[in-house]
Amino acid sequence: MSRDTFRWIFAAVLLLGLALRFARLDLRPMHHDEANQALKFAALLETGEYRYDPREHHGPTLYYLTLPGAWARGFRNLEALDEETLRAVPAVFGCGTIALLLLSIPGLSRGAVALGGLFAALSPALTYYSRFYIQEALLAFFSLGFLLFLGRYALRPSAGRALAAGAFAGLACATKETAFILAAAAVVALMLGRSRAERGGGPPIPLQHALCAGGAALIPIILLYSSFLADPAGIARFAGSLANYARRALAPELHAQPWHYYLALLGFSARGGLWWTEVWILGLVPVGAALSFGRECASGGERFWSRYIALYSLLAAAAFSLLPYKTPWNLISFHAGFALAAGNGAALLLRIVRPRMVKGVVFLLLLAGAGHLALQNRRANFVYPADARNPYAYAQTMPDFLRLARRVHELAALHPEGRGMPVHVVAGPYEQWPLPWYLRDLKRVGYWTDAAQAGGFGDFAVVVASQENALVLESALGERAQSEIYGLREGVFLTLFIERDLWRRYLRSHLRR
Amino acid sequence: MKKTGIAAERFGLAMAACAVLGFAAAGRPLQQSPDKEELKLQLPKPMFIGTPANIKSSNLEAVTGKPRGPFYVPKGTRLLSLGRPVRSSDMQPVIGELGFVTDGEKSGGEGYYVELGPGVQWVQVDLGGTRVLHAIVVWHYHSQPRVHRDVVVQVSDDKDFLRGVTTVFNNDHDNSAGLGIGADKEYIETSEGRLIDPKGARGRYVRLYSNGNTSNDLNHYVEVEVYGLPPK
Repeated sequence: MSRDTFRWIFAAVLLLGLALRFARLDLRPMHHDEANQALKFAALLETGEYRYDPREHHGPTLYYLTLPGAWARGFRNLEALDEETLRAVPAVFGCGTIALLLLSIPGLSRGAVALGGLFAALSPALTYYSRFYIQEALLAFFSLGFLLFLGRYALRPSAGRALAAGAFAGLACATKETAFILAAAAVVALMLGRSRAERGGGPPIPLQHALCAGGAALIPIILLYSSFLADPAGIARFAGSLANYARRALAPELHAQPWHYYLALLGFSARGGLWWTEVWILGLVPVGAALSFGRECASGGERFWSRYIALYSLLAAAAFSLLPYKTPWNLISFHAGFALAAGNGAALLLRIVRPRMVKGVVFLLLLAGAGHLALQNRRANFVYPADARNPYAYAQTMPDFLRLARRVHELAALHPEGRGMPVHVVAGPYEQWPLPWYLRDLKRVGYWTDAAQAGGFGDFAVVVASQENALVLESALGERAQSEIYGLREGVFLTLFIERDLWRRYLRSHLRR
Repeated sequence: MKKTGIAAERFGLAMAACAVLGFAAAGRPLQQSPDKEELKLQLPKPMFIGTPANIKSSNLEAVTGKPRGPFYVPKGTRLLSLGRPVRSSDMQPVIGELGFVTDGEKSGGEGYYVELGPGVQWVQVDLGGTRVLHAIVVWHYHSQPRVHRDVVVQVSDDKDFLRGVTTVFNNDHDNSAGLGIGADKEYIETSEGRLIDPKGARGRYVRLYSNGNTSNDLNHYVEVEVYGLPPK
């Protein structure tokens, strides 16, 4: 593939990735984790202060990197924020992950990178979690940057490459504590991916390079975890959090899944008549790895990169699979590697197939695979983004919850105190979220975990209750309230109690319209 | 002591009378009258075990977890909808085919339901001629406990439902579907489906509206059965 052709193709791939990641970012209701991150960010936006909290939140890059977008849109507080502004941050880094693949040239062929970029752009999983306001898209970007600069450094050491690898590693650590797993996978893949001659013959890492890498890694960690030195204890909290996260990963109270969870998620899943597979990508990874041992690779560099990328992805996937704690978004860091390795597998396959007709068949099959990924991408991100049948929608807030939020706002508009209408939320923490995000513009929202704590409801206007509390409230409020049921998550319902006069007013106004 | 016993006896009799009157008012006679017979329905297998009994709301029918009681229809009542043509506000369903609605297959699993787009949608069964209707049973989606929003069922001789429309069920309590406020309550659907009593309404077409559900904003139908007296 000529350089010019490659430029056009890669630009088109990047545009495709951009469109899929940025289109209709407000379509899916906010997941409770996203809402929680949004409020953490809002505190930084409103006060300029950030404190690393190792118990409930990950690293600070997400929050600091959301600031420019919020400032650019003139947002200064939580109330003004919207889903697009927040989700644009992971979307930018999701696109950045595709662009980063260019760093594997000239190690990998242009065809491999173009196809890898296409797979990454179309992957339903990579797209889904690049539209999700959590740390994973940033972690995938920074850890892939570290992987690629480490590989480039291994083949042609320079201070600049050491610096870049260090900076990416530091930023990955400042994003999420699990970055250490990915960094370790990259280092082991590097050691295993190089031939014995390459490993033994190379000079030791110069001290200057080691200092560059170490310094570049430490600077973002120190600056970000210490809130730009305003909270130096944040660095110690980060160091202390690693043991805590290791404990949680090995003996989780929640989110424990079998070892094959990620494999099943990407390999094949079916529910309610919808089936999903990224086997097109997974299947081409071993093809590329196997061909890298033959004569198909044009150079030692290509051989190294082929093995290095495949090994990294497999090692990282194995590490995450062996840990009992699993959440689906963790997969995108190694799946980005799978996409590149699959692109390489496809390119090598096209290279070795000789008869033109067979080559054409292989090409058509690859095209069909890409088309199938595109169809699933549309389905996962635009048709069923919050549907329980979507394997990537994990404990996702259901669209019905938006009706509840809308109803509360419609009632507030009719209440004499307007946005000062009292709203009681009586639910456990798991059922309270993402209400704080959706009720962020209301001035008097109180949160209690049980009805007894909330006290009397003499002046109640609206009460949102979890099912355990709804039973108590039903008898406490009696005929004074009209109640409605709303879906929050699969199998989780909320009851909305509305003061009877307010409800009558609502009906009158609604019927007039 | 004797007085207390008599009072208790009277109270018991009054309660029994109220129960009989209550059932009669609900259109469910306790005893089969000579010109009626029990409607025999073939129910699919339950897809989820138990119903979430703790879900409570004044706008939601109490979840009893018990089977529905017998329902009596005039003798000679037959299933009229089997294999009859179906129209919909969404003629290109995302999943399944409109034919599923009257194909007699009520299993709630994959490949047995039709999925219509988001928002207010309807399906309409053409019975082929004006019929006197005595029961309508609808299975929207019974693989998991859900509340289907704004379930409105209408009968008419006009295929466009502009004239002569009889509403036989409406649980849209806030007029969000725009068809008026209904007095029926929302319910959690199980494999028993929802049995609606059209009380002898006459019409050729039966139209069923819905407006998403508590799990998603899409609309699903596994089966619709319309029972009535066949043409003589």
